[in-house]
Amino acid sequence: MKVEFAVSILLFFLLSLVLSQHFHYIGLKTKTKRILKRLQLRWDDMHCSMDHLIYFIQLPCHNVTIKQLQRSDFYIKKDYSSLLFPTITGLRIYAASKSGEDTLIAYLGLDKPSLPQLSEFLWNGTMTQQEAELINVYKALHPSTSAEILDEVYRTIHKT
Amino acid sequence: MVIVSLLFSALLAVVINYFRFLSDLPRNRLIFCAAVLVMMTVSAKLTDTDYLYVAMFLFVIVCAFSFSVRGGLLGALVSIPVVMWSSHGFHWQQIAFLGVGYVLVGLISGVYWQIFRRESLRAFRAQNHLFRQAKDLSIVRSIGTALQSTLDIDRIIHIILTAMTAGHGLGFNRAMLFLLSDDGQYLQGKTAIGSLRAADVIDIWKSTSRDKLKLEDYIEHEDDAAEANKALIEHIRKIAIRSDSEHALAKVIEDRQPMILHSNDPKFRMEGWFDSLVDLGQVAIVPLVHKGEMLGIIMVDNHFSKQPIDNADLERLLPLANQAAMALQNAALYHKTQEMAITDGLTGLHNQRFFEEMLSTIYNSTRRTQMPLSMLVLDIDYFKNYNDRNGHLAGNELLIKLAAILKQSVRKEDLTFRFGGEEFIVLLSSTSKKDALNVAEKIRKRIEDTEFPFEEVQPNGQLTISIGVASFPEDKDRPRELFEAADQALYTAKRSGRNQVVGYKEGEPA
Repeated sequence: MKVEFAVSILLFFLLSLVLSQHFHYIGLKTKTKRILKRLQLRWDDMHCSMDHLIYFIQLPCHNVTIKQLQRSDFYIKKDYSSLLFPTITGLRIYAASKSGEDTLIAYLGLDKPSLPQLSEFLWNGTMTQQEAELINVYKALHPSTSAEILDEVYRTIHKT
Repeated sequence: MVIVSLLFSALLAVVINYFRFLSDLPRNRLIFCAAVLVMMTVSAKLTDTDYLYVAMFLFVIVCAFSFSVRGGLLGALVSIPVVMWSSHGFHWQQIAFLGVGYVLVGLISGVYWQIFRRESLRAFRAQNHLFRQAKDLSIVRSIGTALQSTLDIDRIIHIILTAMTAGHGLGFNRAMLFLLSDDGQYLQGKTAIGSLRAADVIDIWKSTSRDKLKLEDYIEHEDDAAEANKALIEHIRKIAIRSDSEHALAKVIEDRQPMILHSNDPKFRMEGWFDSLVDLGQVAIVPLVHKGEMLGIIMVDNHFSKQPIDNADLERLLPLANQAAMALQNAALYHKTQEMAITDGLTGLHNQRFFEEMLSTIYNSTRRTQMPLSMLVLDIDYFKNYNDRNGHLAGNELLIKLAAILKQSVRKEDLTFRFGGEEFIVLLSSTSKKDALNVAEKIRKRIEDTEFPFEEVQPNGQLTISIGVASFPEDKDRPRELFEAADQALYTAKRSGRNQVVGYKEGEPA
């Protein structure tokens, strides 16, 4: 019976590890909806500011290899700090390369506020810093934001 | 029962992981630890195993992972009664050994995770520091490129202050520039970027993030920035601080060192209108120094975000301040050189070269607007005699004095030139011939009535001038012909006895 016992424990931990990031996202979503409802804010009004995007390539970009890449060659990798208690610290934007070694193009840190719509509520005290950070992270993880960020990076690289 | 155990573990994992993320982090960890304990205890019962005591080591490690050393020790303490409750005939000595084992594992794993977390945090901070440096480098590169494209002082200032305040730049809420006066006596508020009130920042940030403006966009839209920052700029321009005073800004000028301080600092409180710089809190002040020359200071603050300013921020500000100082000094030098190239060194009037350049430009402008343009050509009567009798130094002094009178006798928009040794030209824009003749007569009379040193040696016993006047469109409609007409009128004045004003007349002998 000890094998079955060990397998039960393993199953529990495995599922926890695999599901943690997914449920972390759902938790953020639920809490965000609650806060936005309280403040009577609409999700569509949240525009993510790209102020804090840091580029690791020279701009304007003259690197032919990078400029030749398609929009679909760029992808985002999330910087999680822990598997069991995931905390996301930033988003790394990579450009896929045929040689296999992808290039780190840009990084968006989540330690600074990037949603100006929330600044008013922070300023007048109707929202706490933790709540603002929570919404900030959720916004960064949202699929629409990922698309926005990749579009922004692609546009910046092709700007003359 | 085995299947039930597996199902139970799976279900518990799903349910617990859903609910724990709805809480804050400490509660999340607590829920997980409790879930692990429940899962192990129930699974042990369902699979009818004696090895719960082994699994409790894992539980202790999970507690240590969640709450460091304290968690590990608490986990160990909880494990002992659990094992006692579920044990199958363990002797008390065995339980005691197990207890010691749990405590040791709790302690060691707690310390391990503590060190691991500390190192991870250190690595994270180092990474952040590097990323920040990368961003700062990118800003310096962008600004360098922008600065190279201009020698206009106002534009240079706009570029630097934008780099300090834009989100894509250093991200301070406000930046204010104070320049040292030419005599070095005063630090005068020149311009600023940011809002007077903290609440105004919100609207600005909303619109810029909606429009997805970048650093280059902020730099390009200089006029929009001027309008947005109007209130703050007007406020700043009222501020003038004596550079030898005890004020903090003056101290930065004296010491040439940057500083961070709070506006409550007694060194900062000076004159009511400085305090009325709304919401001023903590500020960083950096000097603008290039090649040993002090140009002014830049002051930044975070009156809206209230983000504290530290020495790392000063380090980020200094490269931009140094670039600003260099660009400002280069621009000033360029303008000075330009000024010297078009200025007569002796009298301070414009020189002949500038006259040649400007004549067509002004002429074309007046033709477009169809406004009249008049030209006066002046010549000092018997100047050679004055020079020969009194010496060239006295001659120079006379020219300087006469030039000053000339400048005072015309409007700001009129241009005065030294054309030759003792010949001068005045261009009167939007002035008819009749008015030009009046102006010329006024100048002639002033010169006649002014006492000049050694003028008694002149043939008339006083210094006089002769003036020729011609106008567009009345007399001529080409610039070169206008000059020749005025010059011809001057010669008529000379032939007619000097010390008079003559207007050009068509048909008069040259």
